[in-house]
Amino acid sequence: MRAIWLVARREYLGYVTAWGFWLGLLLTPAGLLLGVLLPSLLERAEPARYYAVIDTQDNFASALGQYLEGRRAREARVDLSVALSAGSPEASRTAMEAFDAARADGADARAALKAANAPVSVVPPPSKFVEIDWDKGVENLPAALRGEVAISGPLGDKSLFAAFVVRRDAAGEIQSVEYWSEDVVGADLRSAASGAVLNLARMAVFSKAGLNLDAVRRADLTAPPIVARRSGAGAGAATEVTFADRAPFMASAALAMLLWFLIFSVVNFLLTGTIEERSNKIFDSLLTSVRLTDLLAGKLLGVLMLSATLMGSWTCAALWASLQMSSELDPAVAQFLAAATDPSLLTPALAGFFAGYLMYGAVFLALGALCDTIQEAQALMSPMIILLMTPLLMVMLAVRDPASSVVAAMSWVPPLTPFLMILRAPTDPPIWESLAHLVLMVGFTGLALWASARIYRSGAVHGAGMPEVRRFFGRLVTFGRR
Amino acid sequence: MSAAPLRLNAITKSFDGRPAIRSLSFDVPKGSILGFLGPNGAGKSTSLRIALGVMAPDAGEVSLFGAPPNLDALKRVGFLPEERGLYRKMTTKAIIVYFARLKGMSAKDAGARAEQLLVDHGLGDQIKTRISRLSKGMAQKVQILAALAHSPEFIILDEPFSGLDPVNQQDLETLIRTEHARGATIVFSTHVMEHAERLCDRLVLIANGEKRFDGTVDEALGLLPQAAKLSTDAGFDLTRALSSTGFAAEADGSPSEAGGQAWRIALPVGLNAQDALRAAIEAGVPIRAFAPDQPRLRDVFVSLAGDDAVSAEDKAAA
Repeated sequence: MRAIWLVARREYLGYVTAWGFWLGLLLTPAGLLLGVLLPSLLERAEPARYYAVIDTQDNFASALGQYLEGRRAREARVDLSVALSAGSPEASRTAMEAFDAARADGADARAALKAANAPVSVVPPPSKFVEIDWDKGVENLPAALRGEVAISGPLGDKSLFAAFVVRRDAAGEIQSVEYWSEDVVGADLRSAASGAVLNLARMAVFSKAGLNLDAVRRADLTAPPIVARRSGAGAGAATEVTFADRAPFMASAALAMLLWFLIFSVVNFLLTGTIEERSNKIFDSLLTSVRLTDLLAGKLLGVLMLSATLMGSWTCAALWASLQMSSELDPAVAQFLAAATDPSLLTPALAGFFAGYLMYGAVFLALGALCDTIQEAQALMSPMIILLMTPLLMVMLAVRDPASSVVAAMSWVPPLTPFLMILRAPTDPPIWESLAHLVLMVGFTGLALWASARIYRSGAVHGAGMPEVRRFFGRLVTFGRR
Repeated sequence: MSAAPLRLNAITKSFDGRPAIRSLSFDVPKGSILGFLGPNGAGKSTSLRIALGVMAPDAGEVSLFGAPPNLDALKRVGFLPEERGLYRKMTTKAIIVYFARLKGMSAKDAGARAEQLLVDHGLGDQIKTRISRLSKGMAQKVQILAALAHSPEFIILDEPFSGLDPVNQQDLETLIRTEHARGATIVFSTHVMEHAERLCDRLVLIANGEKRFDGTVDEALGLLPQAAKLSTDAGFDLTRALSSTGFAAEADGSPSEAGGQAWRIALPVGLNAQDALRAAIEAGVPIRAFAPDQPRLRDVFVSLAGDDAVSAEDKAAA
C-alpha cells in the first residue's frame, strides 16, 4: 500500500502543480456555465423587437397579440409550477387553478400570476415582440426593415424587425399574410403569425356555423390541462407527476454526463503521463522499485484523486454560487440536488464512476505504454474516439427514454454499463438487474485491468510499440480473410 | 566471502526466436566490484534486467540475495539502467526522495540524504532545479545518486560512464570506490576497458549472449601470451640471432620510435622480459630500445570478443 500511495501522490502532485490543471479546473465550469446559461441569458437579454401590421382590419393584429401573450402565459405557468412544487400539493393545485381561471377571464400573464399569489421570484418572461403603429404604407417598409430608418415606439427608436402585410378580398376575408423581414432564418414571429391565422380561420368557421364566438374563446381558455399521474407506491390513487418526480431523471442524466465528462477528461492524464514515462525511459527504474501492479494501481489512484479534486472543487463552487445567488436554494435546484444525492441514485453513480474510470483508465494506461510520442498515441486514438463517443450517444438516447428496451439491452454491453446503469436507476429496475450490472462491471473492469497490465508490461519492459500494434492488427485482418 | 548477492544459473533468453542470452551463469561475490564486459549488443543489459526480475528468463534461475528477485530483495539493490530517464518536471531533490522512499526510506531521512548527496557531488545549488533544466550529464548524475540514496548493499550500474565527460567519469570512479569502501557489492557493465581495469577485482565477459570469461583481472591478463618489444639497427635479422635461445622474434609492422627495425619477442611460459633481454645481449644483438610488452585488458577483450567489439572510444583510448 505504501508504494501505491507514493506513486499516487507523485502522480497527483505532478498534475496539480501543472498550470494546465488549474486552467481546466477554472475554465471547465466557466465553459459549462456559459454553455448552459448563455442561450437563456441571451434570450432574456435580447431586447424586444418591433413589428408592424399593415391591414385594413384589426382582427389579425389582435389575434397575433393574443397568441404572443398566450406563449408568455404558458412559460409563466411552467415557472409557477416549478416554484410551487416544493410546497404542498394542495397549495400548488389551488394556485394553478387560480392562474388558469384568471387566464380564462382574459388576464394576461402578469395578472394571472398575481391572481395565483405567485412568489415574487416568478415573473412573466419579457415580451420578445412589440407591435408599433405603421401608417407609412408598404412602399416604405424596405428602408425600415433594412434599418435605414429608425422607428419610434414604446421602447424608443429602433429599426423595424418585421412586418405583416395582410391581403384581403372584397368581403374582408384574409387571402394571404405576407411576412416581411430581413431575418430569413428566425421563425419565432412567423410561427406565432401562423398560430394567429389558424385561430382566426377557426373563429370564422365557427362564426359561419352560428356558434357564439365568446363561448368558443372561453372554451379554448378553459380547456383542462393534461395532468400527468403515476401510480403511487401503495394501492391508493395515482399521484400527480411533479417536478420532484422528474428530478431523479434529470439528476441521473446530469450524473451520467458528468461521469462521461470526468472519465474522459482525466483518463487523458493517464495516457500522457505514461507516454512521458516511456519516452523518458524511466520504466526500469520504476519496475525495480515497485511492483507492476502497485505502479498501475498508484497511477490510477493518483488520477482518481485528481478527478475527486476536480469534482469536489466544482461541487463546492456550485453550492457556494447557489448560496450566494439567493438566501435559500431555488426549490427546483434543491429538488434536483436532493434527487442527485439520493442513495438510490448516488450508489449506482459512484459504482459506475469507479468502474467506468478503472475500465477506461486501464485502456488508456495500456495505450500510453505502447507510444513514445503524443503523435503515436493520436494514431491509436482514432478507434478510441468511437469508443469514447458511443457512451455519450447512448446517454443522449437514454435521456429521452430511459425505460426504452434498446437502452435496457445496451446496458449489458460492459463499456456502456456504467453510464446506462445510472440512467436506468430512476426507472426502478429490478434488484437482480442492478446487482447483475454491478457484477458485470466489476468482472469486465477486472478483465480490462488484467489485459492492460499485460499490454503495459509489453510496452514498458519489452519495448513493444506501434510496430507491434500494426503487426497485431495485420494478423487480425489476415485471420479475417481466411 | 559470504553468500553471493547475485547468482545466475544457466540463464537463457530469446527475442522473436533470436537467442540473446545463452546459458549464462556467474556469481557476484559479496564485497566485490565486478565488471560485466561485452561488446554492444552482447546481452549485458538484458542479463541485468533478468537479474533484477524486470524481465523473466526463458530458462535458468536467478538468485538475488538467495531468492528469486522480489521487492524485498530489490530494496537492497540500487540500479542505474542503461536507458536513463527521470521525470523531467520534478526537482533533483524530489526525484531522489521519491526513489529513496520507494526503496523504503522515511520522508525525513530521504530528504536529508538527498540534500547531502546533491551537495557532496557538486549539485548543491541545483537542489530545487527541475530535471528538464539540467544538462544530460548532470541529469545522469542525479539518476546515479537516486540509485544510491538508500545506501544499497548491492549496486548494479548499466553502462554508468556512458555520456559522462572525463571529469564526471573520474567523479563516478571515486563514487564507486567510496560505495565499495562502505561495504557495497558493485556490478557495472561497460565496454570501455580502462574503467574495468582500474576499478574491478572480478570480470565477467560475454559476447553474443555467451560467457567468454569469468575471473580476476590478473587471470584475464594471463590469458594472452607475454611479449617484449625490441628495436635493432636496420637490416639486422633478430629472428636468426635468437633462433638458438628459445625465443621467437617477428618483425613488428609498426615503426620503431628509436629508429631502425622494431621487433616483437614472444615470451614462452615461465620466462619473462628480463630473460629475453639477457638472451639478446648474449647473442650480440645491436639493441636500440627494449621494453616489456604487457597485454592490456583491451587485448584480452578483443581476443575473446573479436576485434569488431572494440568501440571507437576504446580504440582512441588505446
